[in-house]
Amino acid sequence: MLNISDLHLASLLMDAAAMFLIIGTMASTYIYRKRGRMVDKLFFIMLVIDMVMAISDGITYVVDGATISGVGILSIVCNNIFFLAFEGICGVLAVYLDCRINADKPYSQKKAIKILLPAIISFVMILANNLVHFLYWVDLSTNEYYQYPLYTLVFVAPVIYMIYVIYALYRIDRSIVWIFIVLIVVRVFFANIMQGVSSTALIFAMGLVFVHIHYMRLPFYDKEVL
Amino acid sequence: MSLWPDSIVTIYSDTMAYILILGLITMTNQFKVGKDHHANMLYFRLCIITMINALSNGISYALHHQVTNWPEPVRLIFPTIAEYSALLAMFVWFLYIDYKLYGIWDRTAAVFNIYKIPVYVMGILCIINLFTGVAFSVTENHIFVAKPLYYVLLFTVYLYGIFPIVLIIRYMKENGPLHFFHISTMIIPTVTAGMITAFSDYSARALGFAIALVFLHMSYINLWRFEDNDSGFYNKHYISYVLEQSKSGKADYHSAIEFVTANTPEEFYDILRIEVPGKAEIIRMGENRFLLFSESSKSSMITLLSSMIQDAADEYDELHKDDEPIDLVISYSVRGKGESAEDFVKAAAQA
Repeated sequence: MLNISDLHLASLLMDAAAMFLIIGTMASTYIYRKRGRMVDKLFFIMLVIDMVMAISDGITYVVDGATISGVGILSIVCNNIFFLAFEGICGVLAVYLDCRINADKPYSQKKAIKILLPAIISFVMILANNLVHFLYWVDLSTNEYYQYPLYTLVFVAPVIYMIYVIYALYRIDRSIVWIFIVLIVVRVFFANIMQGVSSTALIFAMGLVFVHIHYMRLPFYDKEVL
Repeated sequence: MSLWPDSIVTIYSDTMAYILILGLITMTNQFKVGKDHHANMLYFRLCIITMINALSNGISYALHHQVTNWPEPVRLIFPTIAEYSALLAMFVWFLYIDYKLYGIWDRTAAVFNIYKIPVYVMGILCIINLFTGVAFSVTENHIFVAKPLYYVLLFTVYLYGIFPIVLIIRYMKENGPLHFFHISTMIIPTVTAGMITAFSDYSARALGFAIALVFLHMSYINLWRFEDNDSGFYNKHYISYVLEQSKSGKADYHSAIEFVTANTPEEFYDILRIEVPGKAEIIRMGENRFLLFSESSKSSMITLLSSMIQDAADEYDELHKDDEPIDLVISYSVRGKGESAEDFVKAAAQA
């Protein structure tokens, strides 16, 4: 039997909204994807990661506490995928914004890897958690998810990246910085007063939408070719 | 004050809708897309109304199961604003879609005059309801109670939500597919949110509509950038995109047909739309110059298409002797052996 509370339903609603935003954004930005620039590819990668995050998050909320045998393993796998995606999207966002700031310079894979280092370290930490449970785990007897005291380590890399994101957005255009600050504040606020409701994928989807709408203002090509 | 689960879900949903729209308003205020004052004005009003809906709906749900000593008219204020703003949002969306499709403000004003009556009637019903509870009421612990007349209001909201969809489908049947306008990205979130609201204890209407507004704005930017307002074909800025696609091998054009007119009535756009196969791309390069690129190099296809369009234009000139003639001149070029797709497109565009 599934055990879906109202808070779980709220999370599913948020994940569903994130999926709508992501899929619609993919459809609306196909012409940019066909353009084939690195920023376009990175943006698409972020949309895919966010989709993975929304799906895995939704599954974890559906199976949390369920009395069906075997779902505990599914919950562990999906939680791992969610957190890997969470770290990954923060890192790719930083690389994306770096590309936008340095649009006049060629893309450097070495630089991108340097930027992704905190995310890579987090990946190792999350994978290590499967051997030595120190971040989070799922009790296989009750299929319930719970967090260990060191769970806050999951947020170290994202916090570093968010500081860089705010800085990068400030350099690109100050007018959109406040939107991201509001998104982060709202997410943290709701995480504290409505524990058990996850809107991470939706917050990222909203952020990506605003970033791209801002990007759509720029000329499609640097100069007209005729 | 402790919140009940249905309140939590709805407040969360409405808050996200509110932030989404606040961000959209900031982006659209910072960047007025084109000089289309009417469209910008309608879009801005749509955003404001949806924000009002999200806010009032969120407050209504926050008060669920909270016992207050407020008189009923006061208890009804936020639910009334929420319900009526939903209808207003659908109405303004209808007007916006009408204007974006046809581009004639007088036409949209006429649509407004025809369709405003039910909206006004529902507004009067909502005001009367504040003091009589004839359509819906709210108990002392702020639980919404719908009465038969409420479903008339609800039906009107959904009806006005369907009108733009019917308009779009009718327009596409008459004029062909719409570029960059993905109707499903607007309908699916709105309908899904409407169904969640109708069949559960939660409300996600504002969030569904906010998501639809995001895609409306993205479509608008793409249309503004690449579409010729008069004809609905691509404009000359689109040629840059075609060139890049040719350069990277993603488009492999082998022939180009050029149409040059002395005069370009709207009927000529219809001729091109009817005669040209769906997958070919028509680009308006100038007032009286159109280019059609195709991946086919078959001279039989080019000759047939050219003669059909020439015949249709000649027939128009024959039937409209009192008007300025189209005087169509058609020429075409086929990509030579060894010529790159990019060079071919550039040569055809610059000819």
